[in-house]
Amino acid sequence: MKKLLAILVVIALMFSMAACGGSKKPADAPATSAPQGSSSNNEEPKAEPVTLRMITWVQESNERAIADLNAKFSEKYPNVSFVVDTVNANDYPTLQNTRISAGDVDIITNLSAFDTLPQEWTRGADMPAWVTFIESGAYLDITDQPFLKNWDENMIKNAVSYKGRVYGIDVGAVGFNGLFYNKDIFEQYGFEEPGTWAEFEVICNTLKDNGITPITVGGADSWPLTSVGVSGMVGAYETDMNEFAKGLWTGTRKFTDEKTMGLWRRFEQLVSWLEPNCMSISYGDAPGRFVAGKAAMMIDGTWNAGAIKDLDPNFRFGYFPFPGDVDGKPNQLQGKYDMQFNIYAKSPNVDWCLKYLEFLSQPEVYAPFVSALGFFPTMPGVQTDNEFVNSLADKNQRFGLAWEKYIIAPKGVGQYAAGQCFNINLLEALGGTVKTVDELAQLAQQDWDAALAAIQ
Amino acid sequence: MQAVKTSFKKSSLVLGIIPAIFFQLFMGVGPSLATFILSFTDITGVKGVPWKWVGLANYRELFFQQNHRDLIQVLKNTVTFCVAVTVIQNFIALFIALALNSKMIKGRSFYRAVVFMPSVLGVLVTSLVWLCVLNPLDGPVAKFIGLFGLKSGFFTSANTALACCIFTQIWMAMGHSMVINLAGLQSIPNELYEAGAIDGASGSQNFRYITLPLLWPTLNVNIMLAIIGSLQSFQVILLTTGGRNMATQTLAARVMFFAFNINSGSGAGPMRQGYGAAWAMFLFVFILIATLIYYRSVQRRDDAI
Repeated sequence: MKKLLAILVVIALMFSMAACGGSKKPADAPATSAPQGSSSNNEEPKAEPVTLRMITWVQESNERAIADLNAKFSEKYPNVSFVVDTVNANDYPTLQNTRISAGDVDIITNLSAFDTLPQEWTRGADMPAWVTFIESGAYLDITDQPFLKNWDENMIKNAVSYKGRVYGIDVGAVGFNGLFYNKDIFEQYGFEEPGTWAEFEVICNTLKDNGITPITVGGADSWPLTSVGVSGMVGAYETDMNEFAKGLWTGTRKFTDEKTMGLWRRFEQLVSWLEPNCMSISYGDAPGRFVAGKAAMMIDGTWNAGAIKDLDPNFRFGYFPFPGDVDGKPNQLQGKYDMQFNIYAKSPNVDWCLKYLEFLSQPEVYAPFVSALGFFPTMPGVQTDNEFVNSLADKNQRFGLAWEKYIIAPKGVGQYAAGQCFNINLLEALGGTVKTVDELAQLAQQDWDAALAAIQ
Repeated sequence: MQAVKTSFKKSSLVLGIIPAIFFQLFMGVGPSLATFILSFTDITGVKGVPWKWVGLANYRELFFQQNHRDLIQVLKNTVTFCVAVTVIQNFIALFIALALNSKMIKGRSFYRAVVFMPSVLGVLVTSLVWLCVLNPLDGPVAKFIGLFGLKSGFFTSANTALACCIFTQIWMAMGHSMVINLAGLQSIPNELYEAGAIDGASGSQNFRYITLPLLWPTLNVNIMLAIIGSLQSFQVILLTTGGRNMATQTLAARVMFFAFNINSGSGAGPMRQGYGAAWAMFLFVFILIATLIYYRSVQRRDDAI
């Protein structure tokens, strides 16, 4: 009986380990751009009924743009239909991980470009998830696809390439270092878009004195405040974000040094201008409150203009980046390449996925798509007819990356310096336990130092 | 005493239970052992990514590279969540079971169904319901306490978030405890109460000397289930506070956080199932210790009786 039990345990263990899906063998070689079963990409895939499984995140304007694009593709290729699954942006990385692990996807959209690679000074930092996917052979190598020549070379080089190979297409760029503002309220008080922090202070304080909540934000999702608000303010305050990030690692800059404390003071001011209980407002609900006039401004990325328009097509709004000390009017947008399309390399429908990207790479298909998305185009010669995006042209002359694309926190860092490193949502005024920014700065530095010490 | 004669051979019995044993080994013991082994690897969980043996590196990171203050906060949250859920849930479940077992209450079945209803709703619906009810902006509770000049961030405030999670968990799981208690109460022979009545026992004496001792094995099961269940629970925390707030992070939530890269926001980090497995082993030891402590204290009490 004991022997029998022992055998059963061993068998069960073997099955369980096998079920984990891993392999000690080297990763399957990344798929090449010539998909299996297809002699050439120019060859039309067979016209059998095909359902392409696509995943993306909840963002009304994006979902609508993708639905239109898919409808056009299905119109051209009636045998192809789509199943698009969405979850909110916070949960999207989990959906990506699980679907790729299960092989239950054909086309993957990515929130960002291939960025935030560890630098030589970021000791012990993990590789980002996208590297894991490339090295596991999950993303199809599309380096040799002819349609890539239609796209902006810089985008191809900086956003979708890794070790000289191309794995996707980033369909646009977005800014997320600022705020939408209600033009009617601004005109009522004679405000213009602020060029400096001092001007911004006057606007917010005047509004507050007149009983108008200056700013709202979808704080319940956390990232709108940290990835957009904090990131935008760091970008406006620090002239060289790369040096700042490096300085925090090498010790030439501190969370508590005089210069950084100036930034903390601005965070303190920002918190005082936010809508009370904004940490319970979900990202999806914030535009509704903004359009309803609950606040004069809303921290968000330029991509969400479509959601505001949907709520009230007659609502008059604009967007300006967080200002710094120098009047750089118009202040310039910082952000990222957004919505990357990748193909799951082991998909049985690789041919059709490539056909899809080829279809998207046609300027006449891409132009209405990028207009509907509300992104800045990444295809040379393509103009968007999105009124809002075009209104930002003067703020998009020297487009740069946002703070979140520069900073990598040390492994195991404590909560006060995690993420974008300025976790103002831990302040008491926003539902946290830390009373002042001075205390938060001290705690952030302690956490940072402890994490660096643990790495050495 | 005569042995019961059976037409089954011993080997037939063994053969009969093999499927059940194999099922238990495959679904329970196997994955547990696999988790233990995987905690010494850097497996990500993404198919095709090579993984290797890293020895104690995951445990070193957990205990020495993790921020100690945050780790202690996670342990504190775990203990608070476990103790509060176990004590309050069982106390209320016992009280309601006693009330709904009384013949004096008409329509007992209806009330039992009402109390059990949250267990049927499931964790997702329950969490959404309480997120709405406890919405600090325009939820009914916020409006009500606002009448008295009070306000609270509920799930969004570090001071109240854990309490709100505990409340939601109890509301959801209490129905089960109540039903088990009811079954225990109904198995107590009525003759004992009749004998008590003849001896002139009061209601409280009946409870102390008849109900409680005979219900004790049932209560034990309930308490044990509540301890283990609350230590393993992470769903309410993730669904209500998103697990982003360290104020509500428990060991089980940390396992999910690392193993499935939950709530990384920008999604920059990869899944780290090897490291998550190390957290799971830590959770296992924690549950084992908690269960043993409870078991020993019960045993000591029983020995004393």
